[in-house]
Amino acid sequence: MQTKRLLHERKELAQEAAKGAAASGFILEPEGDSMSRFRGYLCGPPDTPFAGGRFRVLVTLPPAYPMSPPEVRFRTPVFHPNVHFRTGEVCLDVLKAAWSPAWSLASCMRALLVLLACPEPSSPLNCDAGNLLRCGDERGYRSMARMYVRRYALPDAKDETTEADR
Amino acid sequence: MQGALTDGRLHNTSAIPDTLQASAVVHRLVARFPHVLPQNRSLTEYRGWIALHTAGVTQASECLTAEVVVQVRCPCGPADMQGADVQVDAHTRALLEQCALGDVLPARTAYATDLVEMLEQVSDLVERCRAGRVANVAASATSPSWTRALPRPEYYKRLLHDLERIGWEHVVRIDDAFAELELQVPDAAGRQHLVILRDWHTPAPSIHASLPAHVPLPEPDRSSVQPHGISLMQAVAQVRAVLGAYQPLFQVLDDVDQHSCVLEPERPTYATCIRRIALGRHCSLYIEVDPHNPRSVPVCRLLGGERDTAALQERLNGGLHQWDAVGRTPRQNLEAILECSFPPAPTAADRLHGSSTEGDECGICYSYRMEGVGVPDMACDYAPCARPYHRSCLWEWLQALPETRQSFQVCFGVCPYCSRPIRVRR
Repeated sequence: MQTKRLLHERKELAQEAAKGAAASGFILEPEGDSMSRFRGYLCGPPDTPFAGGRFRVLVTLPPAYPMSPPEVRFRTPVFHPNVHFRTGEVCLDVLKAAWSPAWSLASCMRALLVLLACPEPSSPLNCDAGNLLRCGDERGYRSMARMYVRRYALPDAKDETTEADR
Repeated sequence: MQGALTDGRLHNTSAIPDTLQASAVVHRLVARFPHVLPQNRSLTEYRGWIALHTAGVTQASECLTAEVVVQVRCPCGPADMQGADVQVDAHTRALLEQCALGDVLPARTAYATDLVEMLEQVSDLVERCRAGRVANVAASATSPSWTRALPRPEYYKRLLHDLERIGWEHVVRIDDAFAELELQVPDAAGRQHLVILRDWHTPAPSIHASLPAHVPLPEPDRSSVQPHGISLMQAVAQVRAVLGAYQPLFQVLDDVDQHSCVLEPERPTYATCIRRIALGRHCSLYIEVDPHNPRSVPVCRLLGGERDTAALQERLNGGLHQWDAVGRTPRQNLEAILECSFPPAPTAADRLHGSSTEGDECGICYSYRMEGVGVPDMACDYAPCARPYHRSCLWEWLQALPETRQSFQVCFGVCPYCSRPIRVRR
């Protein structure tokens, strides 16, 4: 049952890519001939500390997809309470318990964009970022995040990758 | 005689030199067929058996004996086969008959110039037959191809003659052995029907056509050269007769196929009287036409979300008495009763762009027709959502959720899209 769905999703992703990264906010492409691995990047949403950054992601589909959610990892270090700084793991409800087959890869990418804009400090994977926000140090969080974006995520930043990448 | 045999055959034969020629033949006989022995001093009668060496004989069935018992009478001696007569045992005779070679034996032995050559002919013929049988026994498990023992030339002559009478333009395909023929037979309304004649060179042929029922074999004519006694002309006439009887059915099915969007079968043929017609809004109508009375009320079943089908079901139940079997086709009757017109079949361009079934795909697997499952057969009951699903996909999804309640064969959960209650029966 996966095949048809994956073809459909690839088509949808190709349509998003055709719109351009600026319009859709993300690019996700199949990795080589693989049907279950996708690579791409998210564009940091404007008016957030992540604006202007490109955050590379790796999406792996489990064999049970779409009955179980895709596994998404950032491959660019992100300073965000719901993203593990070293592994790139993401804590997002729709990629965990709230998953439903109604979500597609494209909609997951959009959910990640929203997550970047609206961090959820109550369930942090990155305690430093979470603590800053929980203590109300919005400015501290923003400047830390901005610093890491400058260091890793700007198009001309030196290409340092997360642990998952190595 | 018996005493001479125990001493050794060479001694025996050289002791009775009729003529020089005869003794030379007997020498060769002893070398080639040591089990065939002269039965009298004048060397005019022989008896014994010929051992056969066909490969695979050991696995062959019990009716294939390993040797042929022969009895030869040659009144003019072993070197002159004039008036000679050869008899084989009943098993071998039956085998030759089966391979349609019963009358070949005397014909072939008549050309022999001496006894040894005659026995060679017998041995060769029987071995050929047995090889054909062995090959056939081995092949019958998979495909009944009869490679070695081909039918008589008359069979092919007659077949070609028949094909010429039918017209070569109607022949679609003939296999190498002239055993399987595909013909295109037009019916009275000009529809072309593909007819396949299988195993035509065997005594048990069959006629296949894309029709709701099997085409019976015509009455065989025993005097025919065909192994089954059915000429090609008879077979085609039989198919034409059957096609004629199904004309009303073809009209009804054509009407449905041309004026509505048939979801199932994917490629409608006349072989099945079942059609699933799209009604729009994820509803469909399953009908089963009676092949013998096609204009009568078919078996009808509405499929789709309960909200949408309920109203249609009511109309269907209430309107069946208006069925007009004479003035309207079943499709027109159904359209009138359901008070809707069936959406037309998508064109090739629609199919290419996938817009025909866009929105009708299962919300879980994103496919429309799934192997072994069919097309989405249920939908969310909440009208603004109305997302269609394959029963099996939704079952698989709901069953894996901890918040789903299951009672007997029904799962109660929420729609993956709108999160409103949904239930699915296994």
